[in-house]
Amino acid sequence: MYPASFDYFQAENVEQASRLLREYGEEARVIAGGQSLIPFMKYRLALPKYLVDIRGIPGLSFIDKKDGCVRIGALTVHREIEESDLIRSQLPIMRDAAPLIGDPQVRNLGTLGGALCHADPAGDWGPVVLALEGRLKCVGANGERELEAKDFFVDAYSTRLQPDEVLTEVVLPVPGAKSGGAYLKLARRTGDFAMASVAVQLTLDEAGVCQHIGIGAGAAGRTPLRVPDAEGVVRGEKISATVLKEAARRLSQAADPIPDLRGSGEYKREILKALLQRAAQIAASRCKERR
Amino acid sequence: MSTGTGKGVIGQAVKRKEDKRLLIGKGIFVDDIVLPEMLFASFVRSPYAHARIKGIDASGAMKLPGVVSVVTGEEFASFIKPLEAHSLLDTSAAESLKDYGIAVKKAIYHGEPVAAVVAVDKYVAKDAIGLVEVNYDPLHPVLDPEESMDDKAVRVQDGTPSNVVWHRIFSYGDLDKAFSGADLVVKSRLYFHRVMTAPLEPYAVIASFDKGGGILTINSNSSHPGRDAFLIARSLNMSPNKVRMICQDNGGSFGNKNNMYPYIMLVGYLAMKTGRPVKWIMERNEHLLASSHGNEMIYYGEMAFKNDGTILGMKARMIADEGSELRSEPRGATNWIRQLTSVYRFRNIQMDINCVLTNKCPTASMRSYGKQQHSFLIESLIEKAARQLTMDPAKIRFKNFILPKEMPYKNPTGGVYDGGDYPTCLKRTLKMVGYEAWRERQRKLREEGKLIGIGISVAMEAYGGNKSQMALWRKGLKSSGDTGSAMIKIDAEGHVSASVDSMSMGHSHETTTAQIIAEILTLSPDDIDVFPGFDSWITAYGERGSGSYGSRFGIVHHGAILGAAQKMREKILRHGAFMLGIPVKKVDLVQGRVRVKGTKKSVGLKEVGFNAWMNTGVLPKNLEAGLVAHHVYNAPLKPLEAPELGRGNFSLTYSYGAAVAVVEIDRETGMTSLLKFVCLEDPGKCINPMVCEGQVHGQIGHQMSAALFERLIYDEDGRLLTSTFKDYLAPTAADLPKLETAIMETPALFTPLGTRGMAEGGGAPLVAVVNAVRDALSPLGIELENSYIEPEDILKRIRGSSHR
Ligand SMILES: Cc1cc2nc3c(=O)[nH]c(=O)nc-3n(C[C@H](O)[C@H](O)[C@H](O)COP(=O)(O)OP(=O)(O)OC[C@H]3O[C@@H](n4cnc5c(N)ncnc54)[C@H](O)[C@@H]3O)c2cc1C
Repeated sequence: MYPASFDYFQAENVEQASRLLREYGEEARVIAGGQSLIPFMKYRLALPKYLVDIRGIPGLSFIDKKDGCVRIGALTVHREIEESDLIRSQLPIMRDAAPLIGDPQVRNLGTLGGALCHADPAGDWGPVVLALEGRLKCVGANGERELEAKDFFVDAYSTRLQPDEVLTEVVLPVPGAKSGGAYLKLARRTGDFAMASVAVQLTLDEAGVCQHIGIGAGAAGRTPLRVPDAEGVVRGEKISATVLKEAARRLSQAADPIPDLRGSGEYKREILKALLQRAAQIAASRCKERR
Repeated sequence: MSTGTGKGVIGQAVKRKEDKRLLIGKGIFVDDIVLPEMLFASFVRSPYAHARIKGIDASGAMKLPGVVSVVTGEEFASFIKPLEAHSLLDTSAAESLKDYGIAVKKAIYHGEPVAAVVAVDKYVAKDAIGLVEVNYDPLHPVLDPEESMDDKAVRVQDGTPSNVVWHRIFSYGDLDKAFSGADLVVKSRLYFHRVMTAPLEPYAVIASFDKGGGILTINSNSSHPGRDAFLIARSLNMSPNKVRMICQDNGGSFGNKNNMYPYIMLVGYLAMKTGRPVKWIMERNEHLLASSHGNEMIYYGEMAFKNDGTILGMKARMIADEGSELRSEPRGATNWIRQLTSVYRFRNIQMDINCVLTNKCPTASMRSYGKQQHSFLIESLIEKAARQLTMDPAKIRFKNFILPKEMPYKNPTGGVYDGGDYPTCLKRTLKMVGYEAWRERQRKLREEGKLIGIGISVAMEAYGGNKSQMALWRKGLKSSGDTGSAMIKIDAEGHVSASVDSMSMGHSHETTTAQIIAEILTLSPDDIDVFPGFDSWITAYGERGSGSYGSRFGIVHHGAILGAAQKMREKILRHGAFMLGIPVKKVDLVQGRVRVKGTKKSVGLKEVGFNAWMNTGVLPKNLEAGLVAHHVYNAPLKPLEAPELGRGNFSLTYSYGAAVAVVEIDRETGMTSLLKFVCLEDPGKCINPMVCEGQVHGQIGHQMSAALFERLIYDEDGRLLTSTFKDYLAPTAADLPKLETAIMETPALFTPLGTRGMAEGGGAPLVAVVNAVRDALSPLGIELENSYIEPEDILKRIRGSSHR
């Protein structure tokens, strides 16, 4: 599998990258880790004439905490998230997801920013960032702006990013002390894309009543799915099998999974239900652990 | 000079000689080879399963700078003769089946080559592919083999009297008596799904033509180079001696690289046409689409039992979905004949064999070729009977095993089982898995609502195939036996080297060859250099069958290596005795030195080698100069007793093994996970336990993943949907269970070293997984008749069960 020919630029800073993107328009593409773009080019599903490599841009690979938020640079690779102590203590749900992405080679090269911009409907970071109510910083010719994760995804492989914009940073509010999160993914084989996945971030009060919940689902439609309807069922309630069953039902109603060789839409809805209930139970037990 | 004594080297876990160069990335694979002026080929492939080709316009492609030539199927057909296989079939289909390896006038499967582009590099070649305009007229694709059998069905190949290209019924014993006297008859329509092997390296070929000498040199990763040379030469109208086949490192075959000869022939023609070397490296999607697939089979099977579990007989109607061409077929569709009743004692059988063409990729050899399908048939019927008789699945098998005291046992075809102990094999496997304890746990966990299953499979795998099997489908063919060829040379400084007419594809041939020679020549394996490849101009290759397939290395090649080593030992002794000035019977070989018995007086290999090559003036007439020993091992196999009746001994050895799988099925997702997996195999004498263990690991990986992961899926238009590794679920090491394996050594009775061949497993791992899933679902009253475990299907059946 050989890609069509293309020209290649190495951007030195975000402004330069944005300028190149603007200059070459539709025919140009950002390349970060290349773990999605290169396979697409090899299948000739993507035929960019110009590649703008942003990996050389300094200051886009970091994980830190500021103003109650964990901030992750767009070029941070999956492996760094998997191994970060800060992530482990502040956002353990990310630590659930990271090791499930592809294989070690993919995790050593693929970036958080690339995964979000690629917007694979079955990608792992989408549901997690949605459940955490993250924000995405983008820089383009018109300067910087911040988008809510729930507004970022438009369709399969398509986002609200302007053609000349580069995603630079993902901002994730750290949930309170009584919060627990869990990410569960069902894959046909180790390192595969999800047949279905669910991220739940849950905050309980002393009495075990849900104060706050974020639910994100992967492979549940043409984009990663935030499910306010299911969240509403749980909020204000104690976590019980009945409540979770209803939330699962709402999720499966909201979901419109793309049928493929791994299963029909109907089947994927069924597993979404099972995953939501299981992930919520794990998240709830983690709330208790942290208390 | 020697660092060892050779004593007991056979049987030791000697480290692999080939590992170093491979692990440091210095293996020589076809794509590593760059020849001057080399061009690159790429194939235009049919997007349709079945379509008339009305025209091909290459003018756009030819305009692309760097494109040298575009060759259509019709041009190929005007130069090459169709491949031999079809023309020798003993049915009326033979005349109309014509295999050029490329579509001529009509494409008959998705991915079939339609034209070839040759260009200065692979990128240009690939770009040009998109510029070749093929005008197709799509035809109705025939995909269901049962529909294809209908007289009114559209013909896959023009002019064939029927899509059923070979049909035969074979009967043994008294079937009526078996079935009329039965307490229980179980019936199943079983389906063995389409699956293939996914070696890391797809097909790779470089062809170069020396116009002066008329020699076509082929560098390839074929596993069957000797046979390929014959086939290619015949089709290209030249002598096989003018086709020089060179193979070295190979990224895996598992049967698949036996089937690349059509491509070698096409690339060969491209080199002859352009006058420049042409490289072609198959891409992954091409490999999945259009290399070769494994046998896809439907069985209507019936088995008759007594109430105590004794098998009385079996009849089965097999519908083999051969795909669009017969490449190695009907070998896979007849390989059951080599192990008709597996490890069991029943003697009344009827097999009704139907080889049917469909518009899919041709099927051909794949590890446990046609044999795992046969195991699946037998073991599925036994499993079903055990459930209906409420008998433990282990117990019903013990009831039916052929016993060690009956060895050598003659099966109903006349196959002679060469020793072995089937009851002990299963007993040991059950012990390894902790069978009783697992049954107990299963009872408890079932009460908690868990779906736990324990699956057993015992399988035979016949190795060392008798060439007379082909007489089944080629009337009057005078061909029988099997051979291997090996050559050993000792140079003027006493260095030992060896070559064998095999192809090593991860089999550790260099290592085990050195072990056998070391033992006989009283050396260390480190002292022996084994040529890591095959070169038809250098390797003393025996016959067109040479190569590696059907696990024959451990049989015919070990026989050849042993024979050559013994001849060499004799030569060394005679030269040494001459140098020492005493009769041969008074000398011995010790640590690579010829020593006068009972004394310390000796000469080393270095001196012997020097004298034999460099001081030949002194040699007496009856002492041949030089130290070269060549041996062709002739396996003791006779022609078939009655080919038309399917009677004879089809194999030299009959290996066997058992596997037990424990699975849990998730009620809410339908997913199966392996909790435990145990596998035991009897290779006869084991030359290197580490190598044997590795082979069993591969067999487990391959066959358990065929049950749980790998499946080729065509849509209703005949388009292959699983044409990338994203959708063809080849597993990685992370998907394998913890492997618990063991080797049991019962020497084979008819091979020189007692080796039996190994590593194909007869499908035991696959069937063990399927039987485990069946066992897990049995409380729900669910019967599984497919070899593939599909989570969605499992969930549906769980949800649909009335026993929930
Ligand atoms: C074998 C394999 C298995 C995989 N398995 C999984 C899995 O299980 N789960 C999962 O979630 N993913 C999986 N992936 C995808 C992986 O996570 C990729 O790393 C990720 O999708 C893309 O990140 P990247 O940095 O490689 O982006 P690239 O491939 O370089 O780019 C992807 C797309 O995003 C754009 N882009 C990249 N960075 C930016 C940016 N900063 N600003 C604007 N646009 C940008 C590019 O233009 C391109 O369109 C797998 C990939 C492979 C090859």
